[in-house]
Amino acid sequence: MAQLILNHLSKDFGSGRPAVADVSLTLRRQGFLALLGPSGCGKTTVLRMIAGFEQPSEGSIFYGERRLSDAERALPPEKRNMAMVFQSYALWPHMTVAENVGYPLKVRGISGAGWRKLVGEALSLIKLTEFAERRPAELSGGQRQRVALARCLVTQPDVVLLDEPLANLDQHLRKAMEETFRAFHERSGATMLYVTHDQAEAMALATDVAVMSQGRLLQVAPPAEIYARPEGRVVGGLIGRGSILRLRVPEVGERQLDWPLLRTSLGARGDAGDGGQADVLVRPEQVHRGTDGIPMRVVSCVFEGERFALSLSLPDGQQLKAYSSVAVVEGTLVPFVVSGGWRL
Amino acid sequence: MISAAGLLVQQRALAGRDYRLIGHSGARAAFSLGRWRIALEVLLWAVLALVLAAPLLALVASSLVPAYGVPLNFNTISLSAYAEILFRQSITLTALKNSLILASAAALGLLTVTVPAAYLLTRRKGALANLIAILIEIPYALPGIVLAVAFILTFAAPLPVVGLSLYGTIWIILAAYFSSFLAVSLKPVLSAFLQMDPALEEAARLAGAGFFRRMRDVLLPLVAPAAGASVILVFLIAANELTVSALLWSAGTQTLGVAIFNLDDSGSSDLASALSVLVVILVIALMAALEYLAKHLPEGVLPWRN
Repeated sequence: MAQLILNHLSKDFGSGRPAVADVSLTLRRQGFLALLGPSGCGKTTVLRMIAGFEQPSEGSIFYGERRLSDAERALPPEKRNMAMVFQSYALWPHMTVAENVGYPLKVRGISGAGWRKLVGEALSLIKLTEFAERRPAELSGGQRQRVALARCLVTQPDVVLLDEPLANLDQHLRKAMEETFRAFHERSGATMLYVTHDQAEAMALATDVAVMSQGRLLQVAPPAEIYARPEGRVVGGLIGRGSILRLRVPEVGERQLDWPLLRTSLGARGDAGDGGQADVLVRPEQVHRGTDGIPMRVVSCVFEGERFALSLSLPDGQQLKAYSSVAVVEGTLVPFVVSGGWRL
Repeated sequence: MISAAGLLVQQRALAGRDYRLIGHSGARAAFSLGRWRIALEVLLWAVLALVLAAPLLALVASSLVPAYGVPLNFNTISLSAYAEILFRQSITLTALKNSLILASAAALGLLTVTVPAAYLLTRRKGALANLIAILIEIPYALPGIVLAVAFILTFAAPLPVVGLSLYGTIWIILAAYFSSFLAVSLKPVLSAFLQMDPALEEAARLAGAGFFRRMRDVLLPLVAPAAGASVILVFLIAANELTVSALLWSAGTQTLGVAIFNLDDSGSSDLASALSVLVVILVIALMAALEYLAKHLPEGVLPWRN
């Protein structure tokens, strides 16, 4: 098992702005990396370059010592020993479930009893043994996705690529599929790269999260780390449901801000005073009601099931999100304490 | 020139549009006509009767009487024209044989060109692909007569190396059919490739299948229904073709179209009608076969189903 290394990878489709610009990334051995970013940020292009469907304009891709792609040459996808789960599932409609799952084996010359054994194992893992002779068209979306996953893992590929695999499934199925993916990752030991625009999915599944925006890689870190210590406005805004405030806070020193310091800057009114302003990320769970807090106006109060989501307005007009276990009357002034913030 | 200009305009108009279907196509827009409905339906049926049923009935009627102008009744009705056509006129069997051979050869032969061409046209975008697309469509847009003249001029002289002349043989008709029906043959296959999710091929590539392997296992089975439609469509049109073969035929290489034309021209309208009726039956049988295939076909392949 070797590492997958992306080395100053760029891709320009000739539209002026490169789709991927100077992305360098090393995937941990047997790691599960989620590549997160808004639509059109270049994450799928990175995935397709790793698979070999696109050739980089600059930079290179290595698997261990083996050079897979650079601007001059690219190893064709069929020789990479990778597998991919497509957003559209990409199951072959003219083959049965078992034939779909077993096709990579068939191409590798495995047939007869060996083929049946491996396909049978894969199907029992995804709990679709009794569907072996069905056609993909007869399966539900979640079942199709599981077949696609089984097809990926039946040959023990070095790298498994997942392109927004849950985008077409409903919320309930997603949770179940996340479990399946995690179990598969542990079992197969393959390096997995998961492209998604859903940060909750990325956080729940991955051992590392990489955030991309406008073709550039902004930050790579484990989920808890990237949640607590995001770099810059884009990552801060993408990860979690925080609010980003412009506050006058010290621009050097500790980036984790506490309540006494925040109370001073929140009370100081953004427009007045001297010194620079900085972006401060405040998570909703860091905002509580408290008698020693700063009065904020409740703009909206929405019941979300397990709690109420509040939208608060600061004295200077900036908006802040908070959670509350009880309903709060909209339009009232309520004192709130901001127990922590993170300078981006 | 006019054909080429038209095709260029079409390419411009469709430039940059990718009509690959992702989801299901929506339900057709329909609106209620209210009380006009009956009147419109009657009108439509009347038009249909006028342009379709009436000529067909006239054809059947004239095939059942001994000569043109004889009224059809119980005394004059006879199947002798059919007997004459089927069992006595050697020209019929020759023409039938020629047309069937030409149509099958054109339909199947073209498939070996159009499947790879359609694959290339969908996978490789660019100026060359556009040029090829136009080149393929030009002969179809040309009138058959023009095409036939072009083929006479090209093949009248003996071929350079072998020293044989195609002119006067059945091969010149086949060559002209290849040229004329290339676009007809390409269209269903091209639609099938265009509507295929590229991920299906990509998944096969990652499964380790090289070009010929995935062609055989994945792409060809998926375009097979469209290829079947392509064969039947070309066969259907080629079997009834007249304008190209009218100039290219010679003794022994008459096609069905030419035979009917010659029969009618020489005054045997009953024989011409009888042969026409037989051809119509052949066409209806083939269309029924296509109808049967239709549920496996990408939408828009069959000209009469849309």
